[in-house]
Amino acid sequence: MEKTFIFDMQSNTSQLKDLSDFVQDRVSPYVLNKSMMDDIIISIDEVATNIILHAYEKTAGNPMKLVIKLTDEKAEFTFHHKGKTFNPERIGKPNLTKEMDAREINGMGLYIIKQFMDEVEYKFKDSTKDENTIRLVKKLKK
Amino acid sequence: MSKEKNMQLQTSIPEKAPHVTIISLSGRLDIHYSLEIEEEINKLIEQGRINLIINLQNVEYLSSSGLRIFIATARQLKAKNGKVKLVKMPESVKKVFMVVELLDMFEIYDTDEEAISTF
Repeated sequence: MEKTFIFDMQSNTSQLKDLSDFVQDRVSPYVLNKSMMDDIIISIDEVATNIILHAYEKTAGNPMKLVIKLTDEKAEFTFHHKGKTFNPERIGKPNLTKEMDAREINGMGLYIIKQFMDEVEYKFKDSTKDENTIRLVKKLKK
Repeated sequence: MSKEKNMQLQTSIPEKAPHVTIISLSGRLDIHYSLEIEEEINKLIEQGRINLIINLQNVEYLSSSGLRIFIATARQLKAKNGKVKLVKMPESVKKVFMVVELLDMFEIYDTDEEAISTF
């Protein structure tokens, strides 16, 4: 049986903790272990941060929504926002082989999300809809 | 410093190792707190505190924004012939460091005392 939860928020970094707490509370009964929960929390935070920083260009107070759909098999998280569209595929993988002095400081968030989640899908605004969505899926069973 | 008490930074100087500064972080290291944390650490470095230990025992969560703190701090200190070492890294934090292949770039210890002895 699928359960759905919705978290409405605004593009304020001060709400990131509330978002994490909400996800932790709703999802933890479904996950196998703490490590899996950590993967989810970090990924959710990274996506929300990217929306605030890049889609809404650090402007506070803009609408964002997270829809969580849970079954025994998987947890699906879909962010909805109306900010600027950014295509993460245009941001290359950070070069992780470089020495500390040469390592890029930015760009690791997207990479982390891809490592921790089983599916990541971006859909962009177009003539039929005025919002962007970012969907993450974590399989709950091996 | 704190913002709604969700991230705290405390500093101490060991009596037997006054050349070292221990920074204890607790709470969330996300974008909301990381800038302020970085600024506090930068102030310490500007004051000449270049042998730093960051105790992570009570860090609940680390995002890529938090990772920036460690990279930026390590770079700054290297330029001043100093160093930052990490203590009691929780598994959730270790996982993030591992994924971006930063774990081997830092010395990590189980106790403050062990880390102090290496300076």
